[in-house]
Order: sequence, then C-alpha cells, then structure tokens
Amino acid sequence: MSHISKIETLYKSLSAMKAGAKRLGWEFRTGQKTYAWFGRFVGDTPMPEGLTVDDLGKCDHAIRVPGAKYEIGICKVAGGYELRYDYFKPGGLNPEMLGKFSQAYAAEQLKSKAPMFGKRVVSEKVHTNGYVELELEGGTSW
Amino acid sequence: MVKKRIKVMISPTGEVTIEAIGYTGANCEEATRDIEKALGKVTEKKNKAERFAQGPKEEVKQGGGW
Repeated sequence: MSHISKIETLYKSLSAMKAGAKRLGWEFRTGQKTYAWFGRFVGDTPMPEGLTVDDLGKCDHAIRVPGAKYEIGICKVAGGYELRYDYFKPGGLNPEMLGKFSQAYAAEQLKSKAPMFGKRVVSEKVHTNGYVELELEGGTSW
Repeated sequence: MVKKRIKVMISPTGEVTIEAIGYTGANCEEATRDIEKALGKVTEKKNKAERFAQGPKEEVKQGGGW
C-alpha cells in the first residue's frame, strides 16, 4: 500500500452531473434558467457568499427531485458548477439529498474519466453504510 | 507481491477517499493524480510506510567480526 488522499468533490462535468441525477432517479432539466424555491428572501439565514438577492432562483440548469416541491439550481461558475437550493423544510430538499447527489456525481465522474487515464473500473459496490466503493486497475505506470 | 490497484470510497455526503495500493516511490503519486484532479480538490494526503520501500534489503551476514 502507498498513500491515501481525501478529496473535496467539485462539480466540473455537466455530463457527470446529468448521469448522477439519472443514477438517483432525479430529473435533470437542461437549460432551465430558474429553480423553484420559496421565492422571497426573508433574511433568516445569511446570504451565501458572493450572491445577491437577485441571484436567488436563477440558474443555468435545474434538477427536479421526485416528491420535492422545490428544485436544485445548477449555476456555472469559474472552473465548474455549483448547486443552489432552498432548504426551507416545506420545499422537501435537505443537505442529505445534496450529499447523495455529490456521491452519485463522483461515482459517475470517476467511471467516465477512468478510461481517459488508461484505467478501468473493475468493481463497484454499495455498502450497507451507504458508502460507494469503486476499484480501478490499469494505467501506463503499471 | 501486492497487486497494484486504486480503491475509491465515496461517502453518502460526497467525500472521496482514494487509496493507492501496491505502489512504491513516485509511481504512487502518478497513479492517483489524474483521478484526484477529475474529482475535485485534495484536502489531505497521508503516506503509508510501504511508499518508501526501496525493494528487498541485502542480507546481513553475521558472525566472523565479533
């Protein structure tokens, strides 16, 4: 064994985001410019850094989660994309859902990019604790 | 000999842990660099003792000099 790296997942690929949404059974809405939210900033939580009230509810693409009233907005930013959503409880979205999306995205991004690095995914498992495990082999330095 | 492979664990919150298994020396970094870059930003990197292995050590002969 050699080393272990911990990675903070960043959204860099729109196609992997689409694949991640599909993996979860969510609907990716390409080109949808607004996402459903409460509709009015009430000031009960701090405004996300770098955003103004006018930015809320606007996006470049959106995701609809079955059973949720509100939607997830996908906004193009330098170097990739970021997610925006309203976690007001009646809207039906919560941080755990966003975590699941991040997990699904990372798995799909890895499967899509591995062949470009000369590697192949030889196994994929979902553990009972919810972790997804992928094993890769191959590569030029092998 | 340990087979060279890369194990990726993704938590339900989206945190990724990449483990390079069976590598030694500089190959270790090379093996995971592209994957790390494709997934996001490295927040922590921990080396394992095996990474510094230099191959089999010469046999130490004892006796005769005591």
